Amino acid sequence: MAVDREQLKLELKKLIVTECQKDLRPELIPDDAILFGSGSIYALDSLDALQIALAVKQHYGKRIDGGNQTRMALSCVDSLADFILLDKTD
Amino acid sequence: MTMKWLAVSHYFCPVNENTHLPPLDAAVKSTCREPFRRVDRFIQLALLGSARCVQDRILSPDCGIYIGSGLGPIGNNIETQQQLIRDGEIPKPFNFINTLGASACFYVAKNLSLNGQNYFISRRRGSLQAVLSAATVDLSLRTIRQALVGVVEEVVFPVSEHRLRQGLRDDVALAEGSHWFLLQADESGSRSMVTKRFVEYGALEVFLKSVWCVGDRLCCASMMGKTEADNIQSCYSVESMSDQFSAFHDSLEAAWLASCMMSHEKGKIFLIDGDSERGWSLFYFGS
Repeated sequence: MAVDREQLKLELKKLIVTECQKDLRPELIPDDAILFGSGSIYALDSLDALQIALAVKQHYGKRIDGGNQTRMALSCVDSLADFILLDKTD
Repeated sequence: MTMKWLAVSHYFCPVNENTHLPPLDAAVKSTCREPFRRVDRFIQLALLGSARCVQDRILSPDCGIYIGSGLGPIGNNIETQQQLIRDGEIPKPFNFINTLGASACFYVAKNLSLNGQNYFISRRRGSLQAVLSAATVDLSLRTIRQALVGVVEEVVFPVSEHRLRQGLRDDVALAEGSHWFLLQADESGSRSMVTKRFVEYGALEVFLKSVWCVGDRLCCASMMGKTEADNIQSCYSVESMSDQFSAFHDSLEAAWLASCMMSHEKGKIFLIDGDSERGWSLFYFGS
């Protein structure tokens, strides 16, 4: 399971870089780096959030809606991986 | 109306089943004045062509932008329709935003720090004439002092489907391109660009005879009335666009004009368009 999770996180980093057309190497994004907001070095905004949310739905079948709990999934790569693996680890 | 052309750029890339579209990311990054994201291939083509045309020039901030295209940002439109209809999903925001051809205008303006007129005109087989005419009107009215005029066409894979959409035979090769002209309201010196409108074909013929010289080049637009095009072909050394560009491109006129202007050969370059209903337009460029 641990290997799957690491693999998933790398996939998510690649997805973020590709979908948001960021000019950076996916593997250099720390797992716990804040992705959005003024405290983030990646300068992603609400449009990027929607883009990532739709890509996550497309690739992993998980819907990130407007609710606080699911919205928090987009905080960092770690939380996004947790969100995707949530049902699978039940 | 006489004005001056300051610069021209020409990107033309034939495409078929056995080729891949060359990635444009690196070229766009090295040519543009600032990095961009959320852009699709159509916008990349527009950014690349316009940046190559302008190079290091500082344009007048009110310079107008006029982008023409036969097909427009077709790749993004297909992707958005697939997301909506085929997959039953909400389209991704970047795809949705860029379904508008005017998105390309926005990015070109941002790259060059322009805030003048900004038009996107889509017209099958006649986009060059449409944008040249619009720019000419604004330059003649002195709404703007400079105009950056471009024509952009993209190809979407698979090529067989792209052909099908355009009603082209299987053996027709395709091309994508981005062709740009920088014009200025200035009647002095060389590099002139003259546009004339004629209601009657006869008047166009008389005028053409009066200015035509050996070595000049002429081309009839693909939307031009056939009888008159045949007549002109019999009287002048008309160049066939399809002879020069073996691959089909919805805006071959733009490809032809830009390549002629970049060849630096002596002689004027004429482009004629029109029919008995629309009237006649003559664009000619002096070196």
